[in-house]
Amino acid sequence: MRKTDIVRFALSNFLRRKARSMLTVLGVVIGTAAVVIMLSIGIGMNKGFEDQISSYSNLKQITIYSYGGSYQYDEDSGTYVYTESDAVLDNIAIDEISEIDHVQVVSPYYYYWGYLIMDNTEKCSSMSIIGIDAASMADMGYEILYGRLLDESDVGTTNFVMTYAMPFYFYTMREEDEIWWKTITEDDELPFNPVGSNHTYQFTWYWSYGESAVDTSKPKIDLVDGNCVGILAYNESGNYETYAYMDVNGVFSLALEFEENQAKYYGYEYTPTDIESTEDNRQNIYDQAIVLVEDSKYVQGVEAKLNEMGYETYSSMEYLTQLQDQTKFLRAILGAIGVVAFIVAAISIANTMVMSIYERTREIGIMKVLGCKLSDIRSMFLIEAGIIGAVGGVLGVIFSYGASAAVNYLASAGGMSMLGIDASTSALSVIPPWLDGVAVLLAIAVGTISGLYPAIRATRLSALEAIKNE
Amino acid sequence: MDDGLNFNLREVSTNTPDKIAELAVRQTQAKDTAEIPAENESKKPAIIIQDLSKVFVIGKEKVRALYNVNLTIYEDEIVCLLGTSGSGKSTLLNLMAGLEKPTKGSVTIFGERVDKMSERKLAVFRQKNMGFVFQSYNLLPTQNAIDNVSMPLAFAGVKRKDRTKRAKEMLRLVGLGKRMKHKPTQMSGGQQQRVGIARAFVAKPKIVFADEPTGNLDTRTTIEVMEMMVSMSRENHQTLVIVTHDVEIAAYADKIYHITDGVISDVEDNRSKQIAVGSTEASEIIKAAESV
Repeated sequence: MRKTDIVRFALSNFLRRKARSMLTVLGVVIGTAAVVIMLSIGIGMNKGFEDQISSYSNLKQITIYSYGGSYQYDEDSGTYVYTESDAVLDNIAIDEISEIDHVQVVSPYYYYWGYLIMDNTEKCSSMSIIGIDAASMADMGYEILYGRLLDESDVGTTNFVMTYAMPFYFYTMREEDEIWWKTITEDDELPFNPVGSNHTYQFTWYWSYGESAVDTSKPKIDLVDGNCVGILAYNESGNYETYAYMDVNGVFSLALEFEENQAKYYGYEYTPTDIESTEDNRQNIYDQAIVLVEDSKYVQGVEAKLNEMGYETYSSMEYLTQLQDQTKFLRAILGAIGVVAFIVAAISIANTMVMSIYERTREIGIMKVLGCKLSDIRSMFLIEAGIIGAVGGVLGVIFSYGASAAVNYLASAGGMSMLGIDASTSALSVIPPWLDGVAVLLAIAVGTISGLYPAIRATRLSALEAIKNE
Repeated sequence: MDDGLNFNLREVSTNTPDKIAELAVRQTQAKDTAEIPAENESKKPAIIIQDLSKVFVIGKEKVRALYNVNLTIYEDEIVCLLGTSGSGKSTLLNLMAGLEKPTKGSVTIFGERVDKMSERKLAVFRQKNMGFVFQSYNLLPTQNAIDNVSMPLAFAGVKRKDRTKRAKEMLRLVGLGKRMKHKPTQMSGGQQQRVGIARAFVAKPKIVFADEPTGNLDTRTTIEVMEMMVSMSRENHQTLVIVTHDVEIAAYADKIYHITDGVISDVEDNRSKQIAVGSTEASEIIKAAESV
């Protein structure tokens, strides 16, 4: 028999009993939709974590710490053992790290402290000065609100970019109390635009500068001029962050000046720290380094390499993976619910096909007597079952899109949140395109497999018994 | 269809060893008489049956349907297996067609052992060599006349266009040119059987088996159907094996095998008394039947 004829026979059998075919298809539709929706919720959950984490951090970013060693869990003793590491963060290390495959940018990270005086009257006490590589600030994914990010022209200078929160922390010296803590939301308007030539900025090291009378008998306290070139956009996680980002070499020169001035002020001997690192004499210069990887999928590989080099690292990706691992069980349960629905659908297909064989016993017998090959009869039934699976699968996928949209709408309208994911900002159910194809193929496969037993049964019918069957 | 079941239950109670012996003797004699007209030198055998026995096991009882049957059917021959209900004639036909396996003996068609063939091989063998006409027509109720007739061609892998053309030709030949798109339920018994005949002959098989082909038909239609089958098989040089209990039908055959209690009790060379297609005899039979 020709293949087209086998398909034609199968199709005409499928269409012959419309009501029953449709009911069986409905079973497959529900099964497919159940699998797709359950998986889509699992996928949506993962995506939600990803959205959530990437909203306040960069998934392509790895932070390297220079603790000089790390605590590692020792399985034999069951305790955490401190392992000394000679991996230091210096310029040589930064160069080495930038050589690792898929590493896009590496920037050193150096914490310093200080106080910022604006227009000689306003002061921001609770702030940090963070030294980074000015040239790669744009690559690191910082988002600017006004002004510009640091660039090559800022290398070695005290030009800085402040965080969104900073303008909220300025207070008038001698008149107002220092502001220690303030919650800032996206809707809070900046009290002033800090960028531009309207404001002058000076850094100082003396904690009570401006608040108490400075002892005039002591050497003068240094005020180092700085130039605010930009302010960063609001960042959810950064609403307490009062940082001034500066080129790392600018920070080093600032620090050198402050420390000399301090020594003079308090009257002690000061030898500047050596901030040079050579091949023979490596030493930790930076507190951290920030590595930006080409794509989040390379993060774990790069991180492993860094760990191998002796560095302690952290990445949001690692956290995300942990988070996703923790919900694996939940997703497995969701998937299992879908699979159960699919099994029910499969049984329904098998049942329909068996019923259909009882009904068509005579017909199958006639076909056998008229010389229809057993393999053709088997194919006919398998294809019919496959058609049920295919039609059910396609309709099921279409139905899932509707159901998924409804779930998302209801969840967001109801202000639902699941495992910390807010339904109004990230969809609860996400159907990626590959799932469509997989679901339809799965439905066809399930249909065909369910049809296997009935099909084999059909070929085993005795032709004689079948044609006797009135 | 008659499967010999009722009869055989009766037979169990009546057949004494003596009776069996007697039947066997009768069969041997019948065989001998059959050999006499088998003078036909030029004709090649189509179906050779040797020592064929069939025993059905029903519960704890063994029921004998056929006993040591020997017969040879030649190419182009029209043969009738004549017997009463339960004589074993249908069982014999089923064994020839490979629908049942014999308990003993062999069925050889065109040199191939049908009784030894697997289901798979049988399907192909039937497709190539056999056509069937059934008492209850056995048409597919959901398919129209064309699709029913073209089914054997579809199984043989003929293209839809070609097989539809051939099916239409066949339907015109059996006088159903105007009912090609009708489904079996929309046709009378006679019309359905004509579709059945068209289906049996469409693939031009070398052998056509007809099991009580006129069992459900009135006399006029019976004659029509018989004449149709006989003329078709003559025209295409096909072997036609008819199973019937009706003597009038048997009259169309070249050779009549009388089957009684599972053995061939008599072989009749009918060529001298044969009814010719379209003869007056046939119309007389119809007249006689209709005047009752």
